[in-house]
Amino acid sequence: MVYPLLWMVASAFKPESDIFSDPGLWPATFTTENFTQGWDALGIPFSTFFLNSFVIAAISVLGNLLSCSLAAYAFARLDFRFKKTLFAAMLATLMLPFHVTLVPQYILFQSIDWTNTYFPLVVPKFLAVDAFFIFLMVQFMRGLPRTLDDAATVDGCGPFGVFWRIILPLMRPALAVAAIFTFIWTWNDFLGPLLYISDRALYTAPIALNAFLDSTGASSWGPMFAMSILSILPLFLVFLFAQKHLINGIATTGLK
Amino acid sequence: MLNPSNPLDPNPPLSRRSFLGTAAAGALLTTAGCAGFGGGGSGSESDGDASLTVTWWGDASRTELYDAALELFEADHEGVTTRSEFADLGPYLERMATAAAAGNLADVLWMRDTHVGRYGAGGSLLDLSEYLDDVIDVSAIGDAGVASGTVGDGVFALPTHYVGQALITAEDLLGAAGVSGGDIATWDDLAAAAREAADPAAGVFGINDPTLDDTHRHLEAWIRQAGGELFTPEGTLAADPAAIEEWFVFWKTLRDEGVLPPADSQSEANGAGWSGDFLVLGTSAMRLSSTNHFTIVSGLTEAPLGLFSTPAFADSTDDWWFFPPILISAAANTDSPEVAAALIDFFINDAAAADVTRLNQGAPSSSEIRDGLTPDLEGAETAFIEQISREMQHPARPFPIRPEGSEQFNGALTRIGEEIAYGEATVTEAVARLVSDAAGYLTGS
Repeated sequence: MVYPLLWMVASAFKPESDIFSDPGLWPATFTTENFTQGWDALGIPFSTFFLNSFVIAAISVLGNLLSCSLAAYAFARLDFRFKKTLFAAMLATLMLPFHVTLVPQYILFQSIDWTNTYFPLVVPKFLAVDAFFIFLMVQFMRGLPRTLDDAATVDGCGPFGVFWRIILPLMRPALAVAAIFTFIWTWNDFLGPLLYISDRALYTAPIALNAFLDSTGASSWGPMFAMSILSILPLFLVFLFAQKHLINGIATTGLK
Repeated sequence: MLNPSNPLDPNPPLSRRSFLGTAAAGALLTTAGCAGFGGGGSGSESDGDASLTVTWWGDASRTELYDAALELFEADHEGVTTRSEFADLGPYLERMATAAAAGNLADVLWMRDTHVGRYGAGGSLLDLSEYLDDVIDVSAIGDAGVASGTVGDGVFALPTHYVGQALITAEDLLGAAGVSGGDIATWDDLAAAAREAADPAAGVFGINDPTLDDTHRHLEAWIRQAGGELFTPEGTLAADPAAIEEWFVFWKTLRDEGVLPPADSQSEANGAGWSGDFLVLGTSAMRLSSTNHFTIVSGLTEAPLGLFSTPAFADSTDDWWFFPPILISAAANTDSPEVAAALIDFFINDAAAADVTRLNQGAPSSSEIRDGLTPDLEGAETAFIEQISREMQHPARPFPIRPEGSEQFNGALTRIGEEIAYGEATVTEAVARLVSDAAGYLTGS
């Protein structure tokens, strides 16, 4: 499983001519040229694209945590008309292929002049559009005893107070899962930035990596592999430091 | 943060300090990301000034060339600013489809001949008819050039470059087998040469497998050489299924003899791009390819290469030759149609632009530009231009516009090529399914 990753790391330190002709993991000719070439290949330092990806991912994490936890609380703890219908509709959005919503969303954002900005990529995150995380948090909340809510209500907490003081602090594992997956999926998102971002300075890392490829000509594989290694480092670090929470979260979201 | 009421609480409540810290971090991130939250929009025009968005497919190295050409255009046109966008071909087409649906195409965009029919007929592209001869000089590209972007009654694209079909050979491997690329005139010659050059013991293949490629121009050549066409003018499938079967049987026979690479090896090599190509690696004696790929392959290997015309049948029609165009269009939603037309004329006819972009997308469509560039070319570039120019001397009956659905048909050809190569279907079954399915998306106008 690790071999493809090791091959990519090895290829990043090989000259372009050796990448596909030398299958070994240890470069016959060791070079760091791919890193120096790849860093400035688009005329903009690659750190710009990393920062862009990080900003979008971080804001998306914040948006998802806030909006999805609120929506999950409403579905898990509150009673209101058409709750079951809305819950089913929310789940139904999980089954909707993204191709169905792609063009209407683009038309919507283009009509309000949001193309070539980050708004289409981050604003929806504050509107609880990720049904997967809502469902995940609903399941977690259902495992929390209602007596806590009742006790808080007796002490004078309203619904938001119960959510903020009781439910949210107890949801750390679920929040950690949502945060990690949101970060990873947003960092790796290619289609969203491809459609909405046209200014080179606003490119995210996946879009910038794609600039090394030319399916009609000769791609720059060495620089692409070099920058790819740098691109996955943040994901690797996020997972490394958060894996305990990830495992705990996955383990507890469906169990009492 | 400990819960003062219960220090042993493993999940202490969210404190005011934690909440404020999180909010501050969010505000900081939002501020840092504000650069990406500026206004969007594309081309605009006011008081004689114009701002154009120009987009093409390719990588950063192509963008460097075309950005330099755009700077020349801006220098010649005061008040005009340009902004470029680019992406690899697949993502480029995806973005184009979405932008076209929203009426938000870039002002000037490069267009595939497989897609111009759809976008031209769909009203996404500007009809350039009123700008021909007046703003856009088409004298050097001729009626055939104008026809390559004509859909219905409108001219929705014009060719900036042409590519051709060719046979690229590794002359050292062929020479070792006592064959030369220059001896290959017919498909039978090609098969014989591939059989001679193949050396399974040494890991050398006779020729790459073209049935697993993404494009199938050589199949089209095969059909046109027999007097047929791939598509009808109305946009349905015209090719005789028997002719398509013969094509796949030809290559299956060579594959079964071990002359072609195994299907999995060829698929893997195709995925690796040119750097992993068998011809480049010295493990294949020949490959069918676009003529312009000769310059790419030459730059990747020291081995002596030959560039020759696509083989033909002994009794081929004389006028089967065709040269797929690389097209340029303007968007119907552009705010600056006349400036967009001027930019199209620039990329077709401007010698200074051609000096910068050279042969990056193929042979320039303008005969004057080709003649002007040739003295400055060397090596593989010279061979490429001379090959195209030589082949263009042949008679060539009209090359029909690719109809809507042609790209799907292209993909279907690759799919059945894989099914046949991996032994999942017989040639007859696969071609029958191809023809039957094609009726569903090649519905014609």
